[in-house]
Amino acid sequence: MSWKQYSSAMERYAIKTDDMATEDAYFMATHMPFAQLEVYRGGKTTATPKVMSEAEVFDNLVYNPDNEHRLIIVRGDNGTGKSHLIRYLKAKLEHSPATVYNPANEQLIFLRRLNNSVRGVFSQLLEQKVIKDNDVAEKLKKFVESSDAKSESAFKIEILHSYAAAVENDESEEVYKRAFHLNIASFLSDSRVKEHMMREGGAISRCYTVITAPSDQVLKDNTIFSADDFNVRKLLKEVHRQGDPRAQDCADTLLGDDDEVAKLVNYLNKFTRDVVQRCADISSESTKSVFVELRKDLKRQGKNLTLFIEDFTGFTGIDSELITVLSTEHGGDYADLCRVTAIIGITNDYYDQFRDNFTDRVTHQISVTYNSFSTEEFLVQMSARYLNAIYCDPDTLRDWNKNGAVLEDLPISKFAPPCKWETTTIEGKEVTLYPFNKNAIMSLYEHLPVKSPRRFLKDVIRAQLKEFFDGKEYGDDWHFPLNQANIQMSNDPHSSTIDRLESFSVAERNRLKSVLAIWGDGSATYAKADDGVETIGGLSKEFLNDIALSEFAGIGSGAKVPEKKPEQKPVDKEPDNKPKPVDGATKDYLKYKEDITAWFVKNESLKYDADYRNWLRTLFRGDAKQCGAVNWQDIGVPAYIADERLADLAAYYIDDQSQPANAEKAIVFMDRSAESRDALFALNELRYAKGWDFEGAAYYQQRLITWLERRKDEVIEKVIASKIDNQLPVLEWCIALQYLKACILGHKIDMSSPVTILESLMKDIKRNDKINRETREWNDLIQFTQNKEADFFNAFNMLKRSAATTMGAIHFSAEGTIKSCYRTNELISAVEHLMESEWDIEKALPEAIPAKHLLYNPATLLKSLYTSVKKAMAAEITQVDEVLKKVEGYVGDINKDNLISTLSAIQDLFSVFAQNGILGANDLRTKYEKAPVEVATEILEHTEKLISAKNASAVMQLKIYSDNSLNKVSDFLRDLQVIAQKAETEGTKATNAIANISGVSNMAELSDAAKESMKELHGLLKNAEVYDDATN
Amino acid sequence: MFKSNPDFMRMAPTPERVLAVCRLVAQKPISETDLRDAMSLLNADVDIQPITESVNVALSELDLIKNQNGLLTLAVDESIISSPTEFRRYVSARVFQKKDTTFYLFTRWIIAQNERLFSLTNWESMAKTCAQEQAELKALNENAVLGWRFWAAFLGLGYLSGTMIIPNMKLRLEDVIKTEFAKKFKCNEAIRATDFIAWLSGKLPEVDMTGKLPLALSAALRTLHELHIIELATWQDGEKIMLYFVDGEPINDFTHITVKEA
Repeated sequence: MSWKQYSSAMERYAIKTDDMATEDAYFMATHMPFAQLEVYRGGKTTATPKVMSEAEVFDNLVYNPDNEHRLIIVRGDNGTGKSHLIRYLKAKLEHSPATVYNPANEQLIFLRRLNNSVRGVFSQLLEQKVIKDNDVAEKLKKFVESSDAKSESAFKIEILHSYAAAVENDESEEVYKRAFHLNIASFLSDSRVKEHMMREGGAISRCYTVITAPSDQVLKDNTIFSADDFNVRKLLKEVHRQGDPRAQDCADTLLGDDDEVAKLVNYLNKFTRDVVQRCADISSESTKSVFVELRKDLKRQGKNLTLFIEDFTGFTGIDSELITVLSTEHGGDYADLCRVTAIIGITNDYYDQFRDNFTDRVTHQISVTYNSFSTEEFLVQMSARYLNAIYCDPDTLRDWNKNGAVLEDLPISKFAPPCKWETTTIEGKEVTLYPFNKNAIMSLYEHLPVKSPRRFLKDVIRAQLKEFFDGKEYGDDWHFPLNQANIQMSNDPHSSTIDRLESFSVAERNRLKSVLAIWGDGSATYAKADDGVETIGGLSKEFLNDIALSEFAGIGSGAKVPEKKPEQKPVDKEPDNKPKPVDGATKDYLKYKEDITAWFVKNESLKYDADYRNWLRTLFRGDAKQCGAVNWQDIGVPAYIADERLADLAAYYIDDQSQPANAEKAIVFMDRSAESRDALFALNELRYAKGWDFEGAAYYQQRLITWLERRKDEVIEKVIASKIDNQLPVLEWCIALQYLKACILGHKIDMSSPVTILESLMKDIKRNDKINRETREWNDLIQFTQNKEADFFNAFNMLKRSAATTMGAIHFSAEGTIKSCYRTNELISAVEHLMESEWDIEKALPEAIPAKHLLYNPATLLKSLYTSVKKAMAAEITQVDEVLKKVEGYVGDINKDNLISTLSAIQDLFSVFAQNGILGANDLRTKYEKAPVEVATEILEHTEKLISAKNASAVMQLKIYSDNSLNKVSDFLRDLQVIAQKAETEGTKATNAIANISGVSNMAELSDAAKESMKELHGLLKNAEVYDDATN
Repeated sequence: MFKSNPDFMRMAPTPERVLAVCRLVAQKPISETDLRDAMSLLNADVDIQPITESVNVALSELDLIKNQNGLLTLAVDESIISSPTEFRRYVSARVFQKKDTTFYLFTRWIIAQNERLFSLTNWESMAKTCAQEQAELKALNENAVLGWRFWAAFLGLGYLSGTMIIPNMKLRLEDVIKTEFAKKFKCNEAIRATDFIAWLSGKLPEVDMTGKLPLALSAALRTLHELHIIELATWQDGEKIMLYFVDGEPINDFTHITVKEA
């Protein structure tokens, strides 16, 4: 047989869309014996069941030699195989020897799901020539034919009219007032409403289907009408505008009112049974009577009845009547009825809805549960049978069926897989599982959203085989195997290696991973056995060749044979499978893994990026105690700078993270790639294992280090915001700030050598309130340092900490007192450069300075400080000029001789004051007690300093003026001013005194000395410049 | 740090500090006292001992500086201390040739542990285990290993991670290739792996290359290959050099290697 033929056999015979359409030969060839069926006596669901095999169920319940009345319910959820069981029991009965089944005295009726409409039931009965009574047969025939004869539209109109009539004739006012019934009837008769109801999928069409057409849709209850039939705004508005008054009223009630719509739906649905019966032209009585007649007829013929109903749920309109007939025990009052063994399939939900009296009528229940089919044994067997049926020649199977379908004689196909492959046995005969194996069967089953034989058949066997056959037939564009559940390889390193195979397309990589994950042992390990058989992930290489994956050579030379992983098959699980509790750490590990996988595989956003970025931070920066993978201080980046720049989580950005952030500002950027995914996996493993002691550590380290090394240089450059061999002169800027601050605050700097300068500047420089500055602008400078205290502090802090060496974790650089030695060479270089620039590096500052940037902040501060300094020095110079000019006014040219002369004169003045008992200005007197030459030298020094700075740069001026010479000279000036003032005052007094002396009678009594003194004083004062000045 | 065994391998003289000492000395000959003052900036809080130890390393162990009439001066060309990279290459070219130092012996032992290293989850257990297994290193303690790790990471033997070192000699190997390879081989040309390894074993004496290459070196080769700095290839009929097997790694051996021109 060819691949096309296999595919055809599968689609047409073995696995049809509706498996009940399978022809007998295939049904029998693929039937899986039910090993564990739960059998209950009676109809209650609370009794304790007895477990029986399929054969036992047949022998005890179907085979009825004692002619017991039996109403057997076969229960199970959809897809559990109850229909299958019923069909099989019927087939088994049919194929049984005459001692078990004798058509002469046993009538066998099988009502399939396919024809579960009312018409369908009777059609089947007619077909099977069950009805012997001609009258009844005629009646049924008439109905079936009339249903055929009537056109679909005519029939539908009849249905709609029946509803309208039913409503109109409804006398009860339980739901609506009678008057409203007429409104509803009128509404239903409105032409627009009719059209809507009769649309494809509308209520009336549904009802039509129930009555007439074959349907594979099982109606759970009588919901013919639904909200969609009435909830159409457009329709209701049209009726409101154009319908007759009653219809309008109804439409108005419904418009925009969901509750009213629901009420109407429920109301109308109540009439379905009656409508169905009326339109089907079969009253419930007739249905009942047909079956009663049937039983009577059979009794007359000396026959009993075994009735199989595959799916009872669909018998809308006649269900309770049918049950009543079937549950009536023969004998006694009903001696004219034959014995009936009814085997009826019902879903669990439907059974639960039964009225109690129904359950009382049930004699036995067979429950088909999860237990029966979830075992490996069952699933493997099932797969094998279907595969065998597909690989077998159809005619061979049909012949086998004709001859009684004896299981021991089941034909085995001659299909040969391309290599040694897993098999199983059916009735002792070996059958291949190719292209499946046990791993695949169990894994695919386990990952089904709904686990049932039907879903297994459709979504696993058929779906996979379709792709397999297509691939084999056409040779290209392989999709086998499908992996809807996205089952991953258990060996992550291998999976990631496959992801990086550039010679494979993405689709091929995924196929390969799927095969290895589902069929293989989860790895891609290459191995060659002693007999030369090559395997990859435990799978024969021939198999991979067969499914067009021959290019893959596997991973590793097999030098290290991986330990076989313990098999994880779900053997005999509990029905409600409670998951084992996992600890918090494992939960986290798994959630991170899932999140990272979804990010890479499905392009989803990362949910837990804050955690991953934290991991990256530890990688690059270390933590409070331990080093990270980059030894910053040893590669030329100060530990403090690295620590600060890498401290904030915002410095780390991962492509498509959930936390909104500016990727441009990130220092560490992680792209979405296989390499990054692997790096995150590595960090997740590291975190979970709290170290590197775990399986696969070497692999993960490799991935992590490669990721790191590829990006390290870029990260370093971003940390220092420059190239490694041309770093920003941060230390220089900070030293300059300290220098300027020291000058501004009058702090002494030992300028002997760079080291002494550093020793002076590497200290906390505080304001000295004892220093008084002469200009407002200088005081503003001082205020500036106060206002920007935090910035100055940060710069100084950065200076100290980034110039200090750090041993170990870079975070140590940021904490506590600095106990570590400095890289003084760097500081010295910085100072030397500053000295060469005369401490004015304003022009060397970058033009564009990024704001709020750790490394650039000192530059920002420096820029504004230089501006302020320059302004202040301009003012200072002006003040200097003024002061010196004023001093010159008193002293003359400021030179030593003139100063000495002035100072001597002051001393003399004070003597005169003393001699004449003139009090006051004692402090000044004391001040100028020193030898004039001494004071003169001092003052000259200060003035010369002031003059020398006039042509210097602003920064040099700042330094020169830092020790406050201006204040000293200004003080001197102030003193001169006070003395002059005093002299003037006393002079005036003296003049007046002399003038008064001549007017006094006893003038002669004044001593000559006194007179002489006064004269002297007057003369002195007259001579003294002081006096001149004072008088000016 | 690089004294003959037994050596306590003190932590304090880190690469950063040793280089800072050399650079200071290079600026101007300086007495040790003045150097201490300078590097502490006369700050009483600063610990002097690390400075002394760093001077000793530079002076007695690495021959970077010398004492001339009471003044320390640079004993090597200034280019050696012009960058951390040059400094590193100078040091690594020397320290592994001195095979009697504790540093060398311990490094060799660490590299030979391969994956077993991961189970020695902290420095203390590394020290203890080595001390038990290597007679000549019986005096080894945790502090010594703590000191060793900074130079180990600096010289490119691995990457620090928590209380462990990830064995990957990418930087060390890259240094050797960049400084020495062109003296013997041509770049952009496939070299026989056996020739390469024979040559390399002289340059990386701390690595035993007699059998399969240890993990640290294998990891380095793999990383350099992935970064396209070298290319490892396996040719048929070539004599294979086996890398340390890592499950999942596509390359586990090579017959030829090409070093790409920088």
